[in-house]
Parts: sequence; structure tokens; C-alpha cells
Amino acid sequence: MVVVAALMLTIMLVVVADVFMRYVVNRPFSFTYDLVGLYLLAGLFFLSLSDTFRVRGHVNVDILVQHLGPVGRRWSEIVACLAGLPVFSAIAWLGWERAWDNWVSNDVLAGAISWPTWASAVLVPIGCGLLVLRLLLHLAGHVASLITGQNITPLPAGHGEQRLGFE
Amino acid sequence: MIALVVLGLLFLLLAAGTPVAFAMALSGCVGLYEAGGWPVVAGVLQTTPLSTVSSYELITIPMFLLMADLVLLSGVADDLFTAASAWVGRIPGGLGMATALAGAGFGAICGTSTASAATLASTSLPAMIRQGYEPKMAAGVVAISGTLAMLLPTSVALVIFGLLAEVNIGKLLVSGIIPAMLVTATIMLTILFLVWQDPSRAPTVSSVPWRQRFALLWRVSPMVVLFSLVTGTIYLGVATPTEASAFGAFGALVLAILRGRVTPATLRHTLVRAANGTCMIVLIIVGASIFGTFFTLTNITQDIVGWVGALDTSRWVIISLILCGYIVLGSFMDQIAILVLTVPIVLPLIKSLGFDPIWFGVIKIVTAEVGMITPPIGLNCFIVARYANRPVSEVFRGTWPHFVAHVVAIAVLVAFPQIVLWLPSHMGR
Repeated sequence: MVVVAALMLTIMLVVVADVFMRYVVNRPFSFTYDLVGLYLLAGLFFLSLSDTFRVRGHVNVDILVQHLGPVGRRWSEIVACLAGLPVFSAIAWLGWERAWDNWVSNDVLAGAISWPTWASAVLVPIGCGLLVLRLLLHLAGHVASLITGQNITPLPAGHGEQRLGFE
Repeated sequence: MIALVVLGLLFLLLAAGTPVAFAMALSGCVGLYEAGGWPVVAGVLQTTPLSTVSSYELITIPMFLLMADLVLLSGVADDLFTAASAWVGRIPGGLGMATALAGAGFGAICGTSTASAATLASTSLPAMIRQGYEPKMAAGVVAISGTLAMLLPTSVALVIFGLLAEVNIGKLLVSGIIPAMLVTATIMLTILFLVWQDPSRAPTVSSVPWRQRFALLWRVSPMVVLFSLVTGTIYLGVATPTEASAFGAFGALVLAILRGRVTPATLRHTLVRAANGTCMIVLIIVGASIFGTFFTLTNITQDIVGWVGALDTSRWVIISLILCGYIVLGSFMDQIAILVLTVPIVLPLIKSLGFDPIWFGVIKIVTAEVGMITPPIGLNCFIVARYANRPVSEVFRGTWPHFVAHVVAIAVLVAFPQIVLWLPSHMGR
């Protein structure tokens, strides 16, 4: 997550420096738009996918689930993993094909600076691949907990606790 | 038929507690597969995630989230309530009004109402209870004042609406300012009414000397600087909202450093927290656009718009029904989920009825504010209850008068669209 924190800081500094250069020195950076949009923001998003799932950052509607017992809540976790797995496996695989195509054909973005597109495209399979691994781990943990009756993968805390929010 | 199955799957997954983004992506994929087979699904899945992320305007979200967390870290807003109460504390219910003003001031530099409610709950709530305010009323006013952050510029909620609705984000942010003043006034009037009903709810406090009042005013000046850095630059057209948001985050970082609150550990924590928040929001937008592609492909949106357009009712009846629906939804769903699920369908409808999308966005956010304080999941009430160590039910009872007042405020905003649209029509550039 150090990488993600660094990306966050870099985005802020690059955009601020860009505005500063435009108004004060009258020489804006030509690369801000592509650099931030193509690499920094994509990196920020895809590389934090898995960690956000770990800290239970992906919001869900837990109004029904919070009334369930531990077994029901585990089933809810299992359903969530099963819903996420096919989608993110597919995105990871298709993203990998696209990144590989871009790499083989040496695809670049038209413009003043020839940014290679594979470096951006490859973030998709990396980020989604990591999420798929975590989902598999999570799934296995909850299934094992259900079978053995032991608390192998702990259940999350209830509503209103330390949640991420945008509101 | 496919649409019904897909919607059924979506709601089943949502009810089972699946993350909103996962549920939308999966049910969208199932729908796309039914409608066009694997090639369509593959095409959408290959392009959507990366193209959604590569939008330059999206930077506004991580930057506003970062700014909110940095403002919280800097503690710069802790003086806001003290300053406000020095000025209006003598009026009946003055400390409650100071809370509303502090909420507005804080909301102007912090885009998340949860952060705002947390700050108010830790500063103004203890002060009110110490002065002998009725705890129920004190907690209620704190919970509702926190929601002002959603309506003022730097609001993450408005940016999300803007991205989904594809409207000018700068204009949208500016158009929240006057409604936010109206809502602040509504909160203050509600307090006045409550105190008039039963003066024992809010004992008066001693007066503060003028010299001290101005000294306190000076201490809140960093916030004025931050506010002008963001809102001023957007309004004058000096910077795009994206640039202004980065400025705001940078300004908040500088403030936090000046106040000696930044250590490598707190900075890293703040950055990662903002990154996780961004990831959550963006993934939901990705899920929504996969689901939205299915809706567009199968012409469902157009069918609904056509069906409503053919109805023989006034457009005011329709908008009232939509807003009531939002208030009900807001009581049990997260606001972001409501936004992504409904905006792609409701917005074309609103446009076809001849309403302004920016106006609708602001009104939608005011209904979202109401959602933050209605049981069973009004998040702000939970936050206040946790900070104040009081039962949540008491906080919910305290917000009840504000709920009624907010519904009236919404009606006023609906009846007089100029309140929303006047300021953005005078923007620079």
C-alpha cells in the first residue's frame, strides 16, 4: 500500500505543479493529462482493489444481513465471493490479453510524448488478479469455517463501525 | 423478460449483502450475455474498467476525499464551533445555531458528512451538554449539521452525481452554495422553534467580550483561505474542479504540516484511507457502467421514459413521487448505491420532463442528507451516538424535527428552481 499512498501524493503534486506552471511561469506541463489519467489514477484504483476488499471498503447493503447469525453471515460472504470471482477473473484475463496485444504491437498513445499503452493496460490484470486471489482465499476460509465450525476467517464487525464513506 | 430476471438477480444479491459493485457487475454481465452472448460481455469487460478510470475528472474524487481526511487530521476546524458560539451564543438556542454554522463552515472545506459529523460530535456536542442542553436536541442538531458537507463545494457526493449525469461539475458544485445556506437557515429556525416550545431545552450562555470574538474569528481564517482556494477558483473560472480539488488537498496538507500533525505514519494512513475510499467509489461506477450498458442495449431506459411521458399526470406529481421514493430508499440504502442505481434511469426521465439536471442533482443531494439521519441506517446518527456515548434511538428522536423541516426545505427548492440555478448562471468564464 506504500505504492498506492505514493501514487495519491504524486497525483496531487503533479496537478498542483501543473496549475502553478501555467499561471506563474506560463509553461504548463504537457504530460499531466496523460500521465495522471493513464497511469497514476489507473494504478491507484487497480492496485488498491484487493486491499479495499480486505478492509471491507466495498459498500454493501447490510440491513438484512446484520440480523443474521454467524452462519448466515458466512453464507453472505460466500455469495459475495462467488459473485465477484467470475467477473473479476474475466476482467483480469481479458485485460491480460489486451495488455499482451499492446506489448506485442508496441502500441503507443498519439501525442507529444509516446506513452506506451501496455504499461497502463497491464495494471488491469495485476489489480484484478490480486483481487481474485484474495476472493479465493476468503471463500476458502469461510467454507472451511462453516465445515469445521472454527473461526478460521473472522467475520466483520457490525454496521456503523469504522466504515469508509463518501457521504 | 430478461430485464426482470436481471433486476431480480441484482436485488437478490444486494439483499444478500454482496458489495454493490460486485452485484451490479455480475447481474449486468448476465444480462449482456443473454442479450448478445459472450462477445458482447467480453467487449464490455475489456474496455469498461480501464476507460472508466482514465477519466481526468475522476481525480476530483480522490482529491476531495484526501482533503476531507487532511482537514480532519489538521484539527483546524476544532475552533470553528468556539468562534461561532462566541458570536451567536447569546441568542436562544445559540449553541445549537453555532453548531449549524460550524457545520456549514466545515462543510465548505470538507466533502464528507461523516467526517463533518465526527468533528462536530467531538467539539460542539460536549459543549452543548455541558451548558445543560437537552441531549436529544443537541445530538439531533449535530447529526443534521454534519450533512451540510454534502451540499457545499468539495462535496464528493455532488461530484459522483456529476460524473454519472455528465453535467458540468464546476457549475454543480457552485449551485449547492445557496441551497446550503437555505438548509442552514432551516436548521437554525428549527432550533428556534424547539427552544420557543420549551425554553428549558437550551439554557442561555454568558456573553463573550468583543475583543475575544475577533480573536476567535482570526483563528478560523485558515479555513477561509482553503474555501477560497477551492470554491473561489472554481467560481471565477481560474481552475477546473479537478485542479481546484488538488489545490484543496494540497492546502489542507500544508495546514496539517504547519500545525505539526503530520508524521509519516499519519500521512500514510490518510493517503491509504483516501485511496480505499476512491477505489470503492470507482469500482461502483465501473459496476454501474457495466450494468448501464445492458440497460442501454436493451432500450429499457427509453421504454421507461416513453411510458412515463405518456402518462396523463403533471410533471410535478412525477417529481414529487421520485423525491418521496428517494427519501424512502435513503432510509435503508447507502447514498452511493442509490445514486448509481437510479441516476442512469431517473435522469433521462427528468430531462424529458423539462427539468434542469443540475437543479435535480442538488435536490437529490438534499434528499440524501435526509437519508443520513433517518432510521434504520442513518449513518450520521450512528457516528454522533458513538462519539457522544448515547443510544442511537435518542439521536434519531432528536433528528426528527429536522427531518420535517428538511422536507419543507426540499419543497421550497422544488418550487423555486432559481434558488439553485441563480449562482451558477453568474459564474466566470
